[in-house]
Amino acid sequence: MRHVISLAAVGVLVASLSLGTIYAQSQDKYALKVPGGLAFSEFRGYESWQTIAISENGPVIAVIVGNPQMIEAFQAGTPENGKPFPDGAKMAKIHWNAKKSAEAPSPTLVPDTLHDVDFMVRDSKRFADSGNWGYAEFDYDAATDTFKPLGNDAKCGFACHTIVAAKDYVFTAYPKR
Amino acid sequence: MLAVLAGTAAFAQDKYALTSPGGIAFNDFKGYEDWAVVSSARTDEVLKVIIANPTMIAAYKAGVPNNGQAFPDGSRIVKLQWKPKKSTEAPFVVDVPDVFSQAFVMEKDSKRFPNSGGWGYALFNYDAASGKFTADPSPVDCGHTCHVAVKAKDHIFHPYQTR
Repeated sequence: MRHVISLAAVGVLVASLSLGTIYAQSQDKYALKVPGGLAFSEFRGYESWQTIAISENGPVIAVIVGNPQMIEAFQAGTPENGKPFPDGAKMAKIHWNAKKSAEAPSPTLVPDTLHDVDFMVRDSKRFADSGNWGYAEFDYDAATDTFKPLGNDAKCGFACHTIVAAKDYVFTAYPKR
Repeated sequence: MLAVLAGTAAFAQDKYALTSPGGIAFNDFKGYEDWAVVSSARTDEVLKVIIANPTMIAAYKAGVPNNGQAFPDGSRIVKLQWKPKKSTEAPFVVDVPDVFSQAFVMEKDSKRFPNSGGWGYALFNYDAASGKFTADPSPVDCGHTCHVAVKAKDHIFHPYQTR
């Protein structure tokens, strides 16, 4: 009986330790914020947003997703119709390191570990000095399963995105599907 | 007037009226345009985004297939395939979608598809010139034959990627 009890106690102890480990490892990414910039929590739920498009350049493969306001605007013809995206439109670019699939029947690049997540949010009042969009980037470290904010403001993408000012600063088109 | 109407009707195809030679109705996948992302992939010929219906996404999030459980009946997954092109705007070299080429679909129904691991497979091709979808004439693309390679993962190649 004593033996049984001590085994049970060990079981509880192991369970507690495991829980402790899990809690220590699971970072609340939504508590992160770019210093002087955007909070990760402004993009809560991006994991389930709809696909806008994909891109790939060898080392990384990306899926670009948008919140409902963004998708609705694309489907209504923005930006080709000359109208801007509405305030509240948000998009996320999820970058994965690419690897060769070990299983696919033909040579195929597939996502390996997450590399980073980039965000854009449109708010013409808040980001009037950066084309009405705020930008943020969070790098991901697979070894520690943690995100880390990059930069010091919400304008990090403005310089690059000015090339597509005529498309309301959005590079990615919403292709047919 | 009639000609205009007829022209419009001919142009606006109801893709969801299509059925594959294997008997898979495109209509079973209605609304796929709005499903959430599972993963993505790149071959020499195409850029792919893999999306799934809420039933399947919920199963992935619950740990399927790594927890040893199978995807539930009603799970549906679609691989969207675009021809790639070099972006003419990006400040770095990157391939982005050009024309849409195919929707490769799978649906789980263990009663209906007992001989192919519970999954039904179909391929719908898109012709950008005519703006029309057609069911691929082959019974299944590689379908079950290819997916048997990942039978241990309930025949699904792609895991739900961290994001």
